[in-house]
This record gives sequence, structure tokens and C-alpha cells, in this order.
Amino acid sequence: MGIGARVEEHFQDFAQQAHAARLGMWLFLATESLLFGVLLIGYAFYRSLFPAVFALASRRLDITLGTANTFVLITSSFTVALGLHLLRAGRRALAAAALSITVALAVTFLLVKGFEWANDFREGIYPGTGSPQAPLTAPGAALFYTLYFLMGGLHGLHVMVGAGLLAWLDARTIRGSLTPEYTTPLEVVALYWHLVDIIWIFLYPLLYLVT
Amino acid sequence: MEQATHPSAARAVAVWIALLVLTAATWRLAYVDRGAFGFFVGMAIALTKATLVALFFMHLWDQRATQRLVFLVALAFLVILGGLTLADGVARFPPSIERGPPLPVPRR
Repeated sequence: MGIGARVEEHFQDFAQQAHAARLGMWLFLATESLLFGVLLIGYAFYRSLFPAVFALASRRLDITLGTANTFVLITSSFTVALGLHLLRAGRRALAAAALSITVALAVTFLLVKGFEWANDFREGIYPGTGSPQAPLTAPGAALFYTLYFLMGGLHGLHVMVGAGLLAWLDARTIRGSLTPEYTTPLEVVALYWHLVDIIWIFLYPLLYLVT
Repeated sequence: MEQATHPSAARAVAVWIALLVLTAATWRLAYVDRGAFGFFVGMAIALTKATLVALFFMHLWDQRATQRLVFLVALAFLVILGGLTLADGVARFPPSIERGPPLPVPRR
């Protein structure tokens, strides 16, 4: 076993320890699903009350940037899965490259998001009612934009955390402290990263493609 | 004890391509006048994509049932929570709840 692969004394063996780590991450992901799920339920509730305003408000968002970011995040999910596969297969250099690409994609996502929000602010779109020059002030528009910034912001925060963790694991892969036999840290962070991807898969049509 | 099986990289590539195609499909659908039916198509595509990620990238397909159970229980609670909340919205009438005016929505 490589560095960091010590079996803690409360586990029988390495496989049990790895399983516990994985299960722990799944429990955390369950609470994350509830966190975002509650926001999505709030969104569904208000969309059912203000369907037309939500559709009009959604038109003001940049569908091109939203779509581009969806492709970016889905590809990053693929590259982290590939990185884990390559590490297990003993291709360390390639695994590190896949993880570096994943981090680059995460940073790209955040940059696009920042650019998009800067454009929104310039147009007078803020959380809440927005500026007096806001393009849409009908009742319900404030709800849509508040949810847009809240869900997008909370998701962006998760992307930041994920990018940091993946950069750390990329460095550990390069250093050789993750080995084909010991991939648990990368496995659980990859799980987290895939959930961040899944959340965006739902946010994308709900925020950008309302009809 | 369990050792997760190591599926091929080809499977990951296939899932990735499927996800890209489905994303492109959702995006193009937004430009088609589709109404309520379109909303369900969009959500069905999102659910399909999420399922692909969960089963193959997150290895629920390959691993033990405990992890599936944890995640499914969370989703079950979300369905209960969401179902009851939305039922409340449907069952209310003005003036106990405010509803948006029916505005004309132009095509994209």
C-alpha cells in the first residue's frame, strides 16, 4: 500500500475502510441533494404560480453561456472519471493530466459564470427586484432572479470547493501518494464532483430554457 | 469484501458522448414552441442525464446496494417534501395566494 493507505484500527481491513469512506461520502451527498432539492422545490412552487413571468425572466439570461458551461461541466465529470480509471490502471502521468484538465474546466466554468453575472449586473439584473432599469419588473420576476443567483451562487461555491480538492488530489497523484491500490480520496472527491455536475444538469434547463 | 469492478474507459467515453448529445438536444428543444409538453421532455432528458452520471460515473451500477439505498432514501424524502409543498400550492385560491398574470410569451 502506498503512503496514506494505513488501515485505521477500527476497521478490519482495507476494503472495509474504503467502503466506509465511500458510504460516508454518499451520506454527505444525500444531505447535499436535500439542500439543493429544497431550493428546486421552492423554484417549482413559484414557477407554478408565475409561469409566464418565469418564462419572460429566463429569456433575459444568456443561453449561450449557460449551454457552454453545461458542456464544460459534463466534460469535467468525464475527465475526472477517466482520471480515476487511469490511476487504477497504473497510468499515473495520464491520470494527473486528466485531473489537470478537470481543474482547468472547473476554473473555466467559474470564469464564464463570473462573466455572465457581470453582464447581468450591467443590465440591471440583481437578486431581488433589480435596479429601476431592470428589463423585467413584473411580480414574480424578483423571485426568479433571486433563485437564479442563489442556486447558481451556491452551485458555484460547490464548484470552487471541488476545484480546490481536485487540484490537491492532482498534486498528490503527481507526487505519487495516490497509487493504483490506494485511490479512496480521489474516489470520494470524484463522487462529490459528479453530484455537482448532476445539480447543474437540472439547473440548466430550469434557469435558461424556460418556455 | 467488495472490490469495485473496474469498468472500461470505453464505457466512460460512451456515457460522455451520450451526455453531450442529450445536452445539445435540450438546448435545441428550447427554440421549438413546445409548451407544457416540452417542459416534461426537458425534465425527462435531465433525469436521463443524471441517471447516466449516477449509474456509470458514480459507479452505482458496479457497487454495493448500501450506497444506492442511501441515495434513493434521500430522493424519496425529496419527493414527499416536494409533493406535499406543490399540493399546497395547487389547493389554494386567491386571495390566500398570489398568482402571476397570463402574459404573452414570445418565441425564442
